[in-house]
Amino acid sequence: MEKNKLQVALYWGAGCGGCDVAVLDTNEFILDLAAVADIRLWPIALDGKYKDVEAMADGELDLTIFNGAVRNSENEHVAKLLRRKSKLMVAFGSCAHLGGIPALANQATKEEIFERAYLKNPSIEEGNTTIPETMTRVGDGELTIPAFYKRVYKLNDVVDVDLYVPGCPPAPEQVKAVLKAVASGLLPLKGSVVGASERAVCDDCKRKKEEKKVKRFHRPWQIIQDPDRCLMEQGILCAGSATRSGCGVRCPNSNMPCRGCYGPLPNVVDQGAKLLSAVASIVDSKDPEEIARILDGIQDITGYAYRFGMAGSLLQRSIR
Amino acid sequence: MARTIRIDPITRLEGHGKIEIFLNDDGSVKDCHFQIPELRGFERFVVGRPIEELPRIVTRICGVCPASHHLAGAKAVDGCFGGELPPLAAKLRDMYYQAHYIHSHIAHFFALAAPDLALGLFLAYADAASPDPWVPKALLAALAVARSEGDQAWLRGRLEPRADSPYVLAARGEPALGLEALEEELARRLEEMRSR
Repeated sequence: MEKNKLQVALYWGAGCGGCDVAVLDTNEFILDLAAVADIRLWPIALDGKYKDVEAMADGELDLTIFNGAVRNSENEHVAKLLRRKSKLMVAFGSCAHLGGIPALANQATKEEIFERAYLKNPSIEEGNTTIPETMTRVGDGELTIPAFYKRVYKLNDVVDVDLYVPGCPPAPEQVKAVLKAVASGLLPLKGSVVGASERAVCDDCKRKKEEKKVKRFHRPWQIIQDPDRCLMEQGILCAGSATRSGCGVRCPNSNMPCRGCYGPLPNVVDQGAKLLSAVASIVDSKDPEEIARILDGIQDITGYAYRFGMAGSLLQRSIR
Repeated sequence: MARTIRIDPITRLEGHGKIEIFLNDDGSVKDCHFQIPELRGFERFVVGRPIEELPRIVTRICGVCPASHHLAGAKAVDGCFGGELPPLAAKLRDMYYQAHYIHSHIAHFFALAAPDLALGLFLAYADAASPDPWVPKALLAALAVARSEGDQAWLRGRLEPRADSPYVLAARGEPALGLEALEEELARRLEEMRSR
């Protein structure tokens, strides 16, 4: 450990490792990072254990880059541990920022998830079912696993967060920019979203926008799309108007609609409500029955409106 | 009281895991348990969503091997539609998967596993008490193959919009460049690789 180097931890809660790979994918840039920083914990790549973190003094870390949502008690425990040890806490990627894909589970109950995963999964041998318990006695020893919460939380539901880096995963060039800013000590105001733009994905999208009047919504495979024209104008639901840019518009550029991983625009409270308001404004009818029919063309609207942000939405979860 | 050795968390792979080793009084191993204390519930929360969205959702099962989950999702969609995959689509998928294969092996070997195997004996053990990271040394070794990694990253970038969240190979996605431009650039790039 060199005293003049930044002390850094990278950790994952309920995530997929894609954010860690996004950091690894900066390739040789990691050498620049390593020149100015000691990485003290990074499960995907280094041998740090929880006991090493527990042994640190409070505030010993300069920075924790936390990806993943909070799904269970271990995620919360380690988030709180790292918060205590760290001067700066960065929520990195969609899951830590707003719940991400794992928060889609907030539409189901814990019991429904357990039933599907542990009792009625097609790959389960008949009769060979186990519902995990937080504590199991084996011989004279005890095995413990984290408690699975009733819903998914975003990182700032359980700890104070200093900065947010959106994206699923954050684009590599944005990762570099953020790490450079940290290394230089030039940090934006607490609570800022960094590594992203202040504009909407639509503002950066090169597709032609003409008149938004939709008589029917299509699933992407139901029509041959015009690759030069706004997807929404073609009736393909796209979250670009409700989503912060900074991703490089990579999905619409590849003929796939935006699903909103960079989160809401600045000063927008609820990304899904923003998207629904855009949808409502383009329906080309004044007849209530026809309007209902047109909107019925969108299946799983919740899954589009809150694909990456259920835990950060006003709804947060289904209540049953 | 017999001792317990706890390895928590398991590192250098995707996902959460821990190992508990129970020892006898003489220090021999009595019992050993490997646990995966993690569930996100994809099995449940994909239910009821449009099938063509699944290849975009299940990639987040694992961000280290998203291509495998993406293609599994794409094949499931193929199965639901009962259609036959056009030869061009099959080739694109294959090319994409090969690129992922190269990326995954390079990432696993150089960033995750090799430092223990190659440098561990000399550095990690000698300096076990120090948190001084081996990352720079390991990555210096990785840079020896960075050019080939750069090549595959380039290829993946042409085939999909996001390295870790592949989207485009199901339900009418197309490479950002367009197929003809891709073919031209690919031919040029392969020629460059050959001449190195």
